[in-house]
Amino acid sequence: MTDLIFVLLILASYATTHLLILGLAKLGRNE
Amino acid sequence: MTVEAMVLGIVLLGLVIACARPVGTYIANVMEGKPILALRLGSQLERAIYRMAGIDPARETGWKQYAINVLVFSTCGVLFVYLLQRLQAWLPLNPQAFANVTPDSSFNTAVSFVTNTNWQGYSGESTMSYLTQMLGLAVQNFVSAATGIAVAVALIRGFARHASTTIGNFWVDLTRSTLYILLPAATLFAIVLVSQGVIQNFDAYKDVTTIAATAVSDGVTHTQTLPMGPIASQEAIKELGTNGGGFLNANSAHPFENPNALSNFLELFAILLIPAALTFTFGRMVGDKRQGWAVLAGMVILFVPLWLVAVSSEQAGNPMLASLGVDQQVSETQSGGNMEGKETRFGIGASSLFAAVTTTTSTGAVNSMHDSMTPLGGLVPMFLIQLGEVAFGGVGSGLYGMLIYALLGVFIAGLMIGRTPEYLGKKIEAFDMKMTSVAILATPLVVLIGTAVAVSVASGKAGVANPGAHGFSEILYAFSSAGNNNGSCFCGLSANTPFYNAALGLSMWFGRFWVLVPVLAIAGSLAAKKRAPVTAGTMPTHGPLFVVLLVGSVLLIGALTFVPALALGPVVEQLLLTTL
Repeated sequence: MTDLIFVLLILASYATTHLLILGLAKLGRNE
Repeated sequence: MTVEAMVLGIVLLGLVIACARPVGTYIANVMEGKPILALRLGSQLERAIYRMAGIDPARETGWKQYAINVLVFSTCGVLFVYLLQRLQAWLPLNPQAFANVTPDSSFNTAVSFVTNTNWQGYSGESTMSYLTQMLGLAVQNFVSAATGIAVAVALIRGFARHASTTIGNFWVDLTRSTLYILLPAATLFAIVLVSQGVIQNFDAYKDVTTIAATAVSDGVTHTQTLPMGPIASQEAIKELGTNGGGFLNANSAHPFENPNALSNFLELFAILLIPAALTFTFGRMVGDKRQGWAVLAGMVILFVPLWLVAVSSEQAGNPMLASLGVDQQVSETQSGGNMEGKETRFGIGASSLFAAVTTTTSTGAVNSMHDSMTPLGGLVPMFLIQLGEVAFGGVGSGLYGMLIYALLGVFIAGLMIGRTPEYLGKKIEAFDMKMTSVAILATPLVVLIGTAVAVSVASGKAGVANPGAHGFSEILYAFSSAGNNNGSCFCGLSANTPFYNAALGLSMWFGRFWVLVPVLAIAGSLAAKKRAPVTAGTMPTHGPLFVVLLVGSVLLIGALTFVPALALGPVVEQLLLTTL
């Protein structure tokens, strides 16, 4: 169970950073 | 401070700068794929790697795909290192039969090594199997440093190219920086370290009989267990890649990692070499070597005064002891000053220099205990980390951090003279400044919010061994170190707890990637721009004025962001020492 939490934490860190990339790319296109 | 300490620092910097130029030229040739001997010799192996991985080396990408590739590669690395630690008890090369690492510590360590931080909440010799050390941690020492070089080179391409939609191929940059730069350098350096007494074996730990008896809980003992292991191979990349994670808990204070004054000097040299060399790589790739010199000058100007403060403060010792009549003056029979937490093999000069070098870069290796430094001496490594580790900085991350400050500097200068800011012929526009702001503000946010949370919750306060200002310093140092991917600590803090392992793990992740991503966005934006011609109104970025702007920007941001927090920690401690 604890392993699942930390693996999800890793994937969540990945997901938020991926969203940052997409967000900045969209900002760049709009500029 | 002593003459020896001064000479040591000057010789080190002189040697680093002298060697940085040819090394920087070599790195530029490698990353540009020039037909030099090394690339010709390794071409078959390089092509085989691309074939096995299904990579088309000729296919370059834009910044978005480049960033996604970095992110996917790093996430896979974290998952792999996490798994390796959780399964090590059933895997080979575990002669001490170490148990699986706990989930929270595995998470912290996996993120730590992938982000080039190498913060260690665990004790290496009593936690990690040889397989975990080599296949997990040492591999990440290489590829995390190579990722740093790749991102820095991608940013340089942003300046060097014009009207381009691509900034390079991450997989090619990663492979070349590992294969032609880090692997040969680390192999050579490991052999040199072995010649000085650093050990390299797969033996089980050895019990030896000591001359003096040691008190233990149930009497005295004449037996001491000495850790063994493949230390030299890890030590070499630990310094060259500005990683800093020790095979052993005592890190470079342990004689098996750092046996003598010469190995200590060589380790210092190895830490600074690639970060300094990358400034020359930058100058060469943008076609104006003076630009590299200017950035290097900024780094040296930032580093030297802070190093001098650290060594002077440590040599001055503790004013409270002085008031009690304790002799703290250096003499033929004693080192004087504050020797607490320092190895007598190295003394105050080499220990303070190591503390400054390891924190001005993103290394975090230690040959003395920073927690035992005087308040002012301890403030220096903490502040060097908080400046973003841009004075030399980490492998790759130092250069791209400094170039971000260069953009900020020319932007401020542009505002002052009422002209569109330019750097290397590229107009700095709104999007570039937004990305610069994200890159500069991400780390302070992580550090200050993390510290605030830790001093507010019970699980954060539980780790503090020293109440009051020093306890606050320990927490602030921990989050500064994690957020800036340094890895050293004020190790009075008990950080191997679920709270700190999770909180510091997240700080390391966001401190790395929320800086790296906007840097790549800037690279993409700059690469797409046309080069503006140099006119009489163009501000030169290779002269003293630019260097002053660069240094001023770093200090201004660092001071405005962190001085209030520092005032609650080391500044209060120093005032208490002098006024009580």
